[in-house]
Amino acid sequence: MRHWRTLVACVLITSVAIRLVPGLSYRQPYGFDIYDLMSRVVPALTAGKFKTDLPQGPLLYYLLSEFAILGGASLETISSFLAPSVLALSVLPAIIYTKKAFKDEPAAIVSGLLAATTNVIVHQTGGTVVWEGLGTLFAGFALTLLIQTNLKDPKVIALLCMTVVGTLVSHHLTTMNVLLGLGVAALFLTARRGIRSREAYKPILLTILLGVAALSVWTFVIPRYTIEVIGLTAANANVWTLLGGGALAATAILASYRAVTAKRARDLWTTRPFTLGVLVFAASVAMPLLLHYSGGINAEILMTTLFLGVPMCVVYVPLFVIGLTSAINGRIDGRLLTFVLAFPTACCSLTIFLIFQPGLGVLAYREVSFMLYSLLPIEGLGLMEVVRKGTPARRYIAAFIIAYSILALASTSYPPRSYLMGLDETYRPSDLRISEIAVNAILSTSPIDTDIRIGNVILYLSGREVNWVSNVTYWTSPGPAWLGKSAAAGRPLDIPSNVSFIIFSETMLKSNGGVVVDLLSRRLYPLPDEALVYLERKPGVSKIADAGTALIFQVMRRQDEAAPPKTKP
Amino acid sequence: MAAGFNEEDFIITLTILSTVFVLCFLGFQVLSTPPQRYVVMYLVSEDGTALSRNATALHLGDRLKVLVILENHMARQIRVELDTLIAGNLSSSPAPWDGGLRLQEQVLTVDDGGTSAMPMTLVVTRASTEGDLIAVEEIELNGVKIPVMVESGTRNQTLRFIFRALIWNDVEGRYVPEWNDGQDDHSSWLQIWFELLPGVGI
Repeated sequence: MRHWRTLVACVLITSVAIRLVPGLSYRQPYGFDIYDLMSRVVPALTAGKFKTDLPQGPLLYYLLSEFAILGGASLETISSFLAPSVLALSVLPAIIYTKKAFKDEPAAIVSGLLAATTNVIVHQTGGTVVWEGLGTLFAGFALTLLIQTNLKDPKVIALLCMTVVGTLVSHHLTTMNVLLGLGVAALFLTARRGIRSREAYKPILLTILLGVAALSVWTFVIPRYTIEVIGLTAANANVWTLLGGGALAATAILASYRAVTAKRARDLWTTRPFTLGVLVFAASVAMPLLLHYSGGINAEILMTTLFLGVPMCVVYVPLFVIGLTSAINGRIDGRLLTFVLAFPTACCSLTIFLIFQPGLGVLAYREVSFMLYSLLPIEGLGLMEVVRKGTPARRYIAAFIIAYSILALASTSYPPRSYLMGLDETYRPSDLRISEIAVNAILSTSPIDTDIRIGNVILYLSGREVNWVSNVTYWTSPGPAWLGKSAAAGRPLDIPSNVSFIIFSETMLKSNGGVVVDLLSRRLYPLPDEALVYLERKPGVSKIADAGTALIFQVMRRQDEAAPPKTKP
Repeated sequence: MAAGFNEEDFIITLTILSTVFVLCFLGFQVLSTPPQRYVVMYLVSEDGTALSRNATALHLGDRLKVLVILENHMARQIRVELDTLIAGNLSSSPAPWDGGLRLQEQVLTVDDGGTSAMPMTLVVTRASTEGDLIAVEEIELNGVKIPVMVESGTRNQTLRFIFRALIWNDVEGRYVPEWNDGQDDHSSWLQIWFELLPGVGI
């Protein structure tokens, strides 16, 4: 294709541009997790070694440390500009994956554009600097190598090992997705060709090897987090949730297997893409509304689903239907189709399974980005199929419609709090300054109550030398203190004896549409406005710092404590 | 224009349009996000740390020494009137300083990015008790004795020192309690609750 390199460059520019929106707008890191991440890097830069566990995988911590040491820039600058730009490279494997899978360069560019701009993919690969971004980058390269027919070539095998190990040391959930995807591919190939076939044993072998490596890393290298989440899922589940989730997850796998083995698919929709798009739009609006009015989801989740889900469904579902139909009817190699479908199938099954597990259903959202990412080849093929069947005039109109859809996808990458269940991932300078004052003025042993949003900042600013009483060490949280409990109760409770300081932000307040940010596995509640009035009028609770949007309160000597003895010379 | 528009033309048009749209979105977001302007006010003890837990349990004559610090991030020089008040029983008014007695007002000018630290030494020099009520009759603020009359309960930290910043507004031609951060109005005030214990301090 002419202009191939120019188009790839444009896709890269788009990818970097959309991921730099928060950095250039606010000139500081975006999202909660980055401050937790930086808080573990700070001691390494000063003491020369990491003092704490490196949850999820150590590679991103090493990378940030090396950028800081070699580049000489501050961690904030790196996390605002450099890291998002590096994670924006995750569009490259998406382009290569599609190009290798279907030998279709225009489809590869479409895949790249979608990887660059799809809201949930942007959010997880550079929009916020999280472990998943690096994991997806490596996993993307692993997928491009896995679909190669020549897995005998030692160079391919060596590269595949490198990318799989890269995924493993970057992010645990992405590793789990790759592992399950390999398992599903092995299952499909075994069912089609038999366990002794050459095509089947390699994925089986790879699944076993990666499974053993992953278990070893999760048990010995990054203990606690991954195995703990699996344990908690199991502990919270019961036989019905496990059976229900398992049965529906198996249904998704069976449906996918049917697609892989189908000789022909009805191409009803390939000639009516516009009708399909309109129907999907109507369904993507109607279904969440139906769920909301039947009591299945609350208003906050409804808004989030509509804001993020509608543009995503309108673009992805029709293109998937058309792309898959085209792949089946185009007699694409069965092994290839198996691999292309195995990874999204694995993510879809895990999503369904997680939704059924009590307390951890909300984690399912983390699966969506990798599911969409691994679907990109079919999406690219689907769009190009529509374009090829259309007339020149329709192609011309389609270019504008798809470009506007891509803008709609991109512009929903950073939802405001009203569309994100009250979560505000942007930090205002006044919030950061009040956290800095707290860290400088409050002794590291004094117990502080705040939420995860501000808590991660004080962990970072203090190099984790701060006594944050409601600290969430991922899944081993002692639970919320006064702020979280008052929010959950819907009224101000008595301040518990283990709290000396309270850092309040207006992003927690109900009247501002905010919430006290807690683990996403718990329900998030807004802090009632009465709680702020309570703090301002409660005898013994002094207001010692005020930055407009954020405040610090100090609980002085308690009413039930004895007065200090009066000393005289 | 559309005649002969082949798939390669399509992909070139789509890519360029998408890139331009996303760059426009980036530009719009950057230009429509003004930097936040704000004022920070906080109080610490003389050594720069938060007050100790017992610092506000005072006897008559005990010195409460604090630094009230004001930071200006308003992207302009500001003139501030810092009011120091004492208050007793809470009024029903939503503003905590309502019913408080003004002890002192200081006017200061703070440059953009600048900080002003004002040392405050507060001493209750005269008070009387009657039953469960205590009446503070005289306060010494930075060496100046000020007669007051504030009543409160004898226990449970129900007396307050309040520090309130008023900022000069050129349009209104007076000091006003609110400042705007670019989106919303805010006011800056601090409050220390204290308890007057029986006996005379050291």
